[in-house]
Amino acid sequence: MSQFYQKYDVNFKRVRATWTLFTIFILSIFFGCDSKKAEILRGFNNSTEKEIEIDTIEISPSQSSQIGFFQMNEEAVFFVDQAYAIIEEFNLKGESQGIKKRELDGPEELQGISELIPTMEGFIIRHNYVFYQYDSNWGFVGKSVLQFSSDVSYDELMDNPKGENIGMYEPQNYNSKTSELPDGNLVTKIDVEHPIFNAFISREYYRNGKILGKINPFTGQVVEILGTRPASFEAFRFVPFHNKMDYYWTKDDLIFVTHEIDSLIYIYDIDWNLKETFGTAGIGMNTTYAESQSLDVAFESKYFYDSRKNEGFYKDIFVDEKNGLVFRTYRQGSNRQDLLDETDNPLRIQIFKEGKLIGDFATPGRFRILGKIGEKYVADGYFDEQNEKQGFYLLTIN
Amino acid sequence: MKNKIKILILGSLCLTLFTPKLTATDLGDGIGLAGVAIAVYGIVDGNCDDKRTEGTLQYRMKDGVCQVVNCISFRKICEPVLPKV
Repeated sequence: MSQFYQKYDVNFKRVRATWTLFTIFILSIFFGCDSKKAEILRGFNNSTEKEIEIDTIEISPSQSSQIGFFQMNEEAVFFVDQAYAIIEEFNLKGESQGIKKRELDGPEELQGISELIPTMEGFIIRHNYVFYQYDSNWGFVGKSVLQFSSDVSYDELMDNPKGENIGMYEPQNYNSKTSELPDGNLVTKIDVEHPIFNAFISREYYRNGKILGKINPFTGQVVEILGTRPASFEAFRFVPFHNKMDYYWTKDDLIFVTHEIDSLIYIYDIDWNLKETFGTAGIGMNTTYAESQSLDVAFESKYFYDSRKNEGFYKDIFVDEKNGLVFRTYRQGSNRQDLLDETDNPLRIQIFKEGKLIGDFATPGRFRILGKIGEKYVADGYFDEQNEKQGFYLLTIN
Repeated sequence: MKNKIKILILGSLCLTLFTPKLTATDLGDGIGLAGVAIAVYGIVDGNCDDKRTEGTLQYRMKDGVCQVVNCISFRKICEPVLPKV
C-alpha cells in the first residue's frame, strides 16, 4: 500500500510541478531577460522560487581535438584533451595557465589519460589500469598497476562466482569517477562481466554485485569492494543498459548514491548501513526500459545506444556539504531517432535541500558538476565540435 | 519410451506457460545459462590478468567502446581505436 501512495504522491507532484513550471515558463517569456553568455533558469519549491544561472566559459586551449573532459581542484580548472593526451590549466575566467602534463613527457612516460584525479598531495592520472602519481607541481612521484587480486582459484571464480570475489571486477569506464577518500585511498565505480554473473542474465549480480572499489594508489591493490544495488532493481527482469550509478563520498565518510533506474538517493555510512533516503522523480521521464534475459543483446551495440539516447534515467550526483545541497542530474528520454549519442538526450538537474526538492532545471547535455570555487559550481563541459569550441560551465544559485 | 516423450512434451509446455512475461521491451530470445557459459568460456584466457603487468592488455567491446576489461569478461575481443590525432 505504501508503494501505491508513494507512486500517487509522485504523480501528483509531477502534475503540480509541470503546471507550475508551465506558468513560470509563460511568465519568463514576458518578464525574462536575455544574456549572451549566461542562461538564467527558474525553479521552485512550494514556497520559494529559486533561480540558477549557468555561464559558459569558453577556453582556447593550445591544442584541442574536441575529445576530452574538464576536471578541477580547489584552485583551478583543467582541460584534459584525451586525443593529444594533454592537461592544460585554466583560471575561472578561462585564461590559460599553461600545459601541465603531456603524453610521454617525463620519466613516467605517460601513455594516455582516462581520468584526472585531484588529491591532497597533488594529482593522480589513471590510464586504463595504470595510476601515475604527481605532486602539486606535477612532479612525478610514482606509478602502480590496478590489481583486482583474487582470493579464490581461477576455476572456483569461473564456476562459482560470488559477489565478494574481488578478482572478477573491473573499473566502470562509462561515466567513470575515481576520487580520493579522507584516508588517502581512492574509490572508483566497478562492474563485473563474468559469463554467468553479469547485468544481462544474473539476478545475483543485482542482489550481491558490488559497486565501488577502494584502492591503495601506491600499490594499485583493490583493498575492499563495497556497496550493493537497492531492491528497486527487483522490479525489472534485467536492465543491463542502466546498471550504472554515481556516488559522492563526503569528508565525514557518508556516501550518497544514485542509481539510474531509481528516483531515490541513498545515503550510507562507511560500513554500508543505510542512513537515509530521499528523492523525487524527474519531470517527463521515459522510464519504459528495455529489459533483457539473454546475453545475446550484449553483443549488439544498437540496444545500448538506443537505451542511452531514448530512455530516461538518473545520472550524476554532487553534494555541497557546506550548504547542505544535493545536486542530481537526470535524462528525460526522447522519441527522436536522430540523436547522435547520449548527450543529446535532454538533461535536467534537481537541487535538494534537507531532502526536499527546491529546484529542477534544464541543463546542457554534458552538464556534470565537478566542484565549487567560491560561490560558483564548476561543471564539465561545453563541446561544440562543428565550430571547434569548448569550455566549462559556472553555475550560480541566486 | 513413449512415457518419457510425453513427460518431455508436458515439461516443455509447462515451462512455456509459466515463464514470466516481460512487461517492458524484451530484447531477443533467452538462451540457457549453460549455453552462455560454454559459448563465452572459449574467449577467456586463464592468465590474461598477468599480462597486464607485462604491458599486454585485454581489450573488449563494452558500452559501445573498445576498452580494457577484466580478463574473465564475456565480451568480444576488439582492436582499440585509440583517440589519437
